[in-house]
Amino acid sequence: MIKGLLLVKKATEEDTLYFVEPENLENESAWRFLEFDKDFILGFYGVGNCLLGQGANSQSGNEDVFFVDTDRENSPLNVTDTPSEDEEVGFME
Amino acid sequence: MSLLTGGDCSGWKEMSADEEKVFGTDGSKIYSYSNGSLNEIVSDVGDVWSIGILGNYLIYLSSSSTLTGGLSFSLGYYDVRDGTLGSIDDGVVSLYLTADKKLFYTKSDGTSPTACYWPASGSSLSPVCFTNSYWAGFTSLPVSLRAPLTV
Repeated sequence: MIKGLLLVKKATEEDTLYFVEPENLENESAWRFLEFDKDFILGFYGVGNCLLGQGANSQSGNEDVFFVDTDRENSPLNVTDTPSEDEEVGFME
Repeated sequence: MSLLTGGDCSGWKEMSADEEKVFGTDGSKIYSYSNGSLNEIVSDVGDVWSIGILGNYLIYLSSSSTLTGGLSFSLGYYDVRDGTLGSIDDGVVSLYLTADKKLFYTKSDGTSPTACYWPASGSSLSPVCFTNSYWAGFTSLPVSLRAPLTV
């Protein structure tokens, strides 16, 4: 069962990351504002509320690793912050 | 290509099913199989990459070549109740996800992305889109938080 989706709204100055529960798709005021002000193309993976993801730097093309708690506003964190190096998330089964 | 003849399903690249029919594609056409009868239900949509059942609809992702030599991806549907065919959207770039009776995807016109969902029910089958946005992933409830199964 899906818990929700992560939606990035792009803007000239900064992008914004939201957590959207399926029942609130048409009610934007209920979207959880997770904040994200960096210029990355993001993709998150996982189960539950704590997710790891990758972000491709739109300038260098290199990827950094990010963390987000979908239950908490302003929660995105840089796990790595190395624009000159390329990192990716690895999952073990 | 003969698909599922005599129970032989060689040639099926993708399969899906509802309670009455099995659907399969050989990469160019989509077939339904029921009660020993095989029918071609979708053709001439380019290369078929993926199929799946969502409610009363068989969803398919297909591609066609662009003038610049690339591929352009499109989503379409087949209504399993009456055999109606329809187009959902073009320019699809990522996150082909079915959840909560909806189809989620991101499309692009080449300059900016658009996040959309297609409601596979109700009176309107038009996609709902958020301009200059994209889906950046999804998450599921952990198993322990799901409602217990009822028997």
